Amino acid sequence: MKLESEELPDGIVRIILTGKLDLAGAHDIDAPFTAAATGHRGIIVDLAGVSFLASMGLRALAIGAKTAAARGARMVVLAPPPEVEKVIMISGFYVLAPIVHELEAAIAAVRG
Amino acid sequence: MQPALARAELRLPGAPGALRRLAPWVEQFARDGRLDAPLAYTVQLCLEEAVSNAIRHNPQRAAAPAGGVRVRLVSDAVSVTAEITDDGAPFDPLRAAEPKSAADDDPGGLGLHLLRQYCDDLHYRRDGATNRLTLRFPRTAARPA
Repeated sequence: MKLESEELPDGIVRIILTGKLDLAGAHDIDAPFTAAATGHRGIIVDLAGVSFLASMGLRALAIGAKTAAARGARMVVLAPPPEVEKVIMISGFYVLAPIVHELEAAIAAVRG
Repeated sequence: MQPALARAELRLPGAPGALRRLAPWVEQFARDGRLDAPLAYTVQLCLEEAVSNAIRHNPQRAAAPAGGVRVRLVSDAVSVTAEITDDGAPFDPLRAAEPKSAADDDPGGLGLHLLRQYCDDLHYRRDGATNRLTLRFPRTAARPA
């Protein structure tokens, strides 16, 4: 599981995750994900390169989303593959972090 | 893709670290059984949730090397069947607390919610001292939209 972060203007960060967010992947990103999200007013979680997501991965993302929300920051999920998007919808995670499919829309959404 | 017959068995010690072996094993089975991508995803997700749940509910097994969770997978032309057994305390995931959403902090509840949404042919039986959970996935089933 790989995590890269890219600083965008206006306090927005794009966190690019690549790999499988299974039990092992969730463990790998737990702390780095929260660290990368900290200190930004907008967090774009790019899931285009994530091929698998289950409850432990969702938990890692949800902790980041709630930490962000507590600071008044916004989080969105960018471009998940169809199977991953299905898990986000069925789990209700989209309530914490809405799904968008274009980077421009993601930037607009986290700017509010 | 032409379905293929496949059979595999995995025994995991009851320690959370052992779960790292589960995903590569399921991936290999999906290739051997020629599961299509959505079905492979569904099987992988359900096994991850069910096995991690079994270990979470029987933490005492972590200390018992002879314990652990056994997973059996069989595929034929029409379906994939998974059987998960362990000798821990009785635990019926179908009767467990109401599922929660990702907005809550309970990964166990969320995992069971996903399990129930992705597999509607799910049976639990207590066989003497053994928990036996059986999941069946039709090759052509309509999965959650």
